[in-house]
Amino acid sequence: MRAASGNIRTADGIKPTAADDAAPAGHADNGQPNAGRTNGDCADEDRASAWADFEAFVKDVEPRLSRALAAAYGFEDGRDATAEALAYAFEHWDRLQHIANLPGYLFRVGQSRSRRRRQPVVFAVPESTDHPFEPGLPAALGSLTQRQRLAVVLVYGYGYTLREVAELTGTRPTTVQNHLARGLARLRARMGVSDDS
Amino acid sequence: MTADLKDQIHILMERGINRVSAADVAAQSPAASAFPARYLRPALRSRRAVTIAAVATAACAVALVAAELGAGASPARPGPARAPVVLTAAMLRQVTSASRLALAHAGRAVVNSRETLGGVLQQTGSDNITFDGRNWNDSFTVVTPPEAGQPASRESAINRVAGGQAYDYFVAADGLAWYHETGPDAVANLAIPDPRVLLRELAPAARFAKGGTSVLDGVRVTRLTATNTSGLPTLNSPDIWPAGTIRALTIWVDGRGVVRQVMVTGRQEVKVVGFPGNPGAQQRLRQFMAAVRNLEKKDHLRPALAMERVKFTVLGRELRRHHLEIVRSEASVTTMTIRFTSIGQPQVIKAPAHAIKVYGRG
Repeated sequence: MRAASGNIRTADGIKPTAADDAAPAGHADNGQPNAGRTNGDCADEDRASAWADFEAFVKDVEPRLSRALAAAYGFEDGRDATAEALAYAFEHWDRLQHIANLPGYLFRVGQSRSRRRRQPVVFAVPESTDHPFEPGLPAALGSLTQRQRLAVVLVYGYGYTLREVAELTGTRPTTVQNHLARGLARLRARMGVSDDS
Repeated sequence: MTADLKDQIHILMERGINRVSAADVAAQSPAASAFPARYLRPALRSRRAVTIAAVATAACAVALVAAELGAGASPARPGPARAPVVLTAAMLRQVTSASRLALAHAGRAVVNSRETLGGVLQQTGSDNITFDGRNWNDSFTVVTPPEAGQPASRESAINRVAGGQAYDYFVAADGLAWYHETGPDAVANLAIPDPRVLLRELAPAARFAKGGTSVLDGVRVTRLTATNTSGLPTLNSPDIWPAGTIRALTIWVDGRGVVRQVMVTGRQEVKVVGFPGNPGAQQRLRQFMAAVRNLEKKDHLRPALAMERVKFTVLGRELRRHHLEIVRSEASVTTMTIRFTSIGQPQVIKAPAHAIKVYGRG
């Protein structure tokens, strides 16, 4: 359940003082009688520190992950996949926080959570009056293969380097380059444009 | 519009992507109170579970549904080994009740449908429905792909009820015009589909499971999917839904518990007619299909209803006349998406200023 203020630490007892409210009276986190505050205080500091680390990690990684999984699966399923990947990180934070390429690892988690979905990739956005893109662009993007779409959206649309995308998707930069070239050619052909200008 | 394709892609993605924050993730995780995992205490989990159960059994369904489905509050329930969250009967009653109240008087609904037979597309349809009290307007288009030498067709018309009178707008022998049906049963025969009947399908036995969230018309919605479609009641409303068994049902609900979108897939076995071993079969089949289409045009009904009428009143006679036989049974699958907008907002539905009066139908 979402915290009304958006600060989960206060609402769900992650904040050090709130954690004590949920524990059995007279017991610290280690289950021993609460002879002093030392052990509990240390544990609370650890938890606050871990939460701060996780929060900083999400702030840093979530945009990349969201964009990649949205490119792969469409906005709605991509959002689900991102939420599930980050939830996996949250629940296994102790173990995962030391992985070298954690964004790439979580991208794979998001992919594995989305494998059961065999639906068309949909890029539906709320209607607007300013028409900032060609009406056929969402369908044209949806017609690309998943790898082509990832390359086109991340490298071409967002300006990521080939190496960044390769690390995220677990492929080689040259592979990303190939998918980018083919994807762009197919996208332009589908939209009936010869170049960007 | 920006001319640069890369800018267009960037804008499209930025408009469509829904962000996930650390707070969203933690809020949906049962491990939130024991983060990180080394601090997980079984006692704490069970206490939380008891608290939630107590709230649910205290008949606080409204508050609970609002919290569970709260706007912007609910990303997908994460966790690899966790069963999906299934709505309780009280929660579902709240959704049904809130939707019924919100959609009772006025609003709009866009219905898109797609029908296949044996995996082959038969027709697509789109209804743009406006309703305000007893006044209704249904502007619909039906597209039939080319088949068996027949060209593709696209037909549009408007059916309207305003001030207790029936009007329709279509192409007749004397051109495209508004017609005012003055017969005693004109309103009853107008066959305006009411997509709200699909809300009857929200039976607790269907075990709706909570999925991810998304944004519809600027409103954060939560996806609920029926995990036990055999628990759904039979829907008998030919104006909106062809007969058949519902195989999939998903609804999108806003933070107040009001259904914003419904997607339903149904399946039924239909009899396919043909001329086994009969010379000149193709020609007679074309004649038969032409007869069916003429009947549809003559009655200018929605194709679903017209087909029902054809099936019951004409098919037998045509079968005898053309020696048609039922040669096989095929699966007809219909997928329909209904999106409700302008919920509760008054709609202006007036009688057309110039309508040709006709008595009866056809």
